[in-house]
Amino acid sequence: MIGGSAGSFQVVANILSAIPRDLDIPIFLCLHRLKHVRSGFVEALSLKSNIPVIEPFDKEPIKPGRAYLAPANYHMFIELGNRFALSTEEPINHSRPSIDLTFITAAQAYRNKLIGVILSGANKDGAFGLNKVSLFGGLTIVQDPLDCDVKTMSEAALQLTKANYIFSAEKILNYFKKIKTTNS
Amino acid sequence: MDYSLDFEIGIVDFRNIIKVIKETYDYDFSDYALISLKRRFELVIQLHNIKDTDSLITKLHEDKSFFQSFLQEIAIESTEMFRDPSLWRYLRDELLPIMIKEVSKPKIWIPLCVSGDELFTLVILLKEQGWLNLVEIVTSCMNDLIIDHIKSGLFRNYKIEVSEDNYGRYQGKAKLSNYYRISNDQAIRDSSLIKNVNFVKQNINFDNSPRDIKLILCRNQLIYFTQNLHDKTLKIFSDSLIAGGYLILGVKEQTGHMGASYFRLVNEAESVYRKI
Repeated sequence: MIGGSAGSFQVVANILSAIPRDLDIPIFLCLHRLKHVRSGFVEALSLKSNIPVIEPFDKEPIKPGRAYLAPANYHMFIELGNRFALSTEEPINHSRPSIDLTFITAAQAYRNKLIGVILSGANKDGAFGLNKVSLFGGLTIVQDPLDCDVKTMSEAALQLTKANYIFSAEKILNYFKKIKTTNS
Repeated sequence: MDYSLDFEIGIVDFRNIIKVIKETYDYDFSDYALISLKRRFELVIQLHNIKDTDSLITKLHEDKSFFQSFLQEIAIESTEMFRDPSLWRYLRDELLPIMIKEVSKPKIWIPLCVSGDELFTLVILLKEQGWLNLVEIVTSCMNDLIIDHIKSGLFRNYKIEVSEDNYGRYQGKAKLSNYYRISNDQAIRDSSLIKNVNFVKQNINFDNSPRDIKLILCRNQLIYFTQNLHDKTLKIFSDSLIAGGYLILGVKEQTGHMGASYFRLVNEAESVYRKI
């Protein structure tokens, strides 16, 4: 599960092109995005991705080996029963989709079977959510603030959580290249 | 306004709240999507500085007017006016002209109306096209508080900027600010626009749904129902539509497997369906 904002697009695209094609877990992407761009964003991420990138419909079942991108102007929850639930409730940290809400609901659903990653971004969205991941025993990775285009998001995350790893984008990439799904 | 993140109620408490509401008021929320509804309960508790779930349950049980406020507060409003401007352009340029030609005074139903944003968007569209008296509009709301709120024209200030941006993308004929005024720092929409709209109080079961409807506009409300209730509601919608009637859902909603037996997709980009 990856959250990011300004400066995170390229890192995410690189992760998607590095990830093993036979990945048998889902990836959740919650990226702050332009509200009015409907298909362009998912297309751009799909371009070099090794796995399908999909914006889920409300109540869509979660399948392994896919990257799910939170749709514009909706919050994306991981609902019990392994489905997505979308919401149009108010923005959190001025953001909809909110990284916090995706992370919190995923942490509650997957508990310690979750990896939460926070990348570059200009606000604090995701800090609380990553902390939840940690509290539920999941693995937490934060992009090194010094490596970020915009370090606000990473710094906010690190203020609340002692992340398992603080990685540069390159190290994050290497981590995902080698990811095996009898996983942490 | 981010209190919802820190405070959580447990699942047992959540179920108890639903149980008490059902027993006291015969409103059954057990088929509402869990995470969203639980968050709404958590919001109300914090909004009213209620001590804990037991206190909420007592208050709900004993204070009938609080229950009405509660109903209004747990409902989720639409996010803005002219949300998805391309949908409104499609309505203006393609679907409504066809509808007006096909049927004399087509009826448009907006169920599960909460903030009035979709309603006011529609009437502004119609007004600008000179079609206000060529259609009939009926809208359903859960209770009188919600109806009064919409009729008052109150327009949430935080929605103004995004709505104006949307209106620009919609390419409206004037300015969105032509349709509201600011009074005491509060935006109030021109309620003369909705003077001919029929407001219906409708409970959770959709008893006495409107009939002979040509178009149902119900975007991003069924997402707060479980699949089961969502499917039941689609059947109700289908029954209320005339042959060849239309249903418009939110961009990221689908009719699903059951719903596909009542509706076929006619415009994928704008989530427009037609009664089979």
